[in-house]
Amino acid sequence: MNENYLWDKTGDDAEIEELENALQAFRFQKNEAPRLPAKILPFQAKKSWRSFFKFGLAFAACLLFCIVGVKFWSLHYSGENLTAEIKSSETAAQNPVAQITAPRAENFPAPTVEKIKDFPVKQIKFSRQPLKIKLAKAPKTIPAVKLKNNADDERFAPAETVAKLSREEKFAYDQLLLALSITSSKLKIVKDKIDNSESSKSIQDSEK
Amino acid sequence: MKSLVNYSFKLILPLFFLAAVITVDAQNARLHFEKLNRLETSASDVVEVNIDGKLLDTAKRVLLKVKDQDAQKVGQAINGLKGIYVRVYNFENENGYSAGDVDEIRNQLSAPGWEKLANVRSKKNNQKVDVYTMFSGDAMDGLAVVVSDSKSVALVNVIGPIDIDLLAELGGHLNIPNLDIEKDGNK
Repeated sequence: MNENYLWDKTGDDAEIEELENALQAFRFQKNEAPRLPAKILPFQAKKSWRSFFKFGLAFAACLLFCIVGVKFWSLHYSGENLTAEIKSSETAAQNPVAQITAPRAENFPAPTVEKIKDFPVKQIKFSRQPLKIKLAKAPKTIPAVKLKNNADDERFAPAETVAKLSREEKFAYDQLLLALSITSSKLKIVKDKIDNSESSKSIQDSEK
Repeated sequence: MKSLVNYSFKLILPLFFLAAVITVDAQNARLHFEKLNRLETSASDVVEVNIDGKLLDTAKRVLLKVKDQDAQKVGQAINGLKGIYVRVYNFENENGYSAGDVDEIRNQLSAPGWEKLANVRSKKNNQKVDVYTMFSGDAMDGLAVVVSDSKSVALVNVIGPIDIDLLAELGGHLNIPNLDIEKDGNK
């Protein structure tokens, strides 16, 4: 085999030439590049439904956080507003209150009735006297206003104090307490009898 | 391998028999009230309570759940309880039942194992009260209370250990529906 022929086709090599002729059909041919289509369609990326839900869930979480925060704020600061109201009512009570005394009926003459011809309407006339106005002092003691303590509110009762029982649990509990109450009542009879006998014995012994 | 099997048999069999003995002992504390069923026809009021097994376990669980001091005391008193059986028969007329019916129950208490704890006889209303206990060593296996007078019969059978003093002390403190069961002559 002539290596130069394989390298740069210099010289002759009958065997290689024979192979080249046999494989001529598969020889590389320089052709023009394939033409691209005239219209290039832009690639449209499908909008993922997950992105919509991602923002939707984030929005819902923010909204929930805001609601919880407002609720917490209103519960926490509602007590302060109540004290402010009470203070304002206290200051108002301390101010002197105008007390108007109604005039006595005996100071006024009997009402007169005048008939007007066209209009049969009663007209009542009173003679006026000046109203007596007295300034009365406010009472010293102001009725106490109890601030509702959270501990008293059933809404804030700890969950442990309220036992939620199912039907079966309630039945079992009631049955057990019934049985124990009957047992304890009968045992109490015995205990009372024994105590009575002991007390009567001690009385007899003391009499002797 | 053979030695392992033999060893396990030697270990398991005694435990098995011990468990069987304990079970039998507990069952011996059980009284049989079936013969009193015929009193139901003549009685004006009948109370029958049977608590054991899962019902008792549920009730114990509830007692621990309820945050009440008395309930928790009761829960501690009945911690080892296995069963509690109650029968109460009230009659409108005196001698509404045969004394022999109740004596059959009292005869069961004369079996070995039962010890008389208290015995009260009162001529007023012909009242008879018997309290029996059954012990195996220091552990209490059962309690039986038989109360009879001219117009009522009450039977209580407790299987397992129970604090009698605490029960007597708590009588009336528990939130129990008022059934007016006890018709005492003192009232």
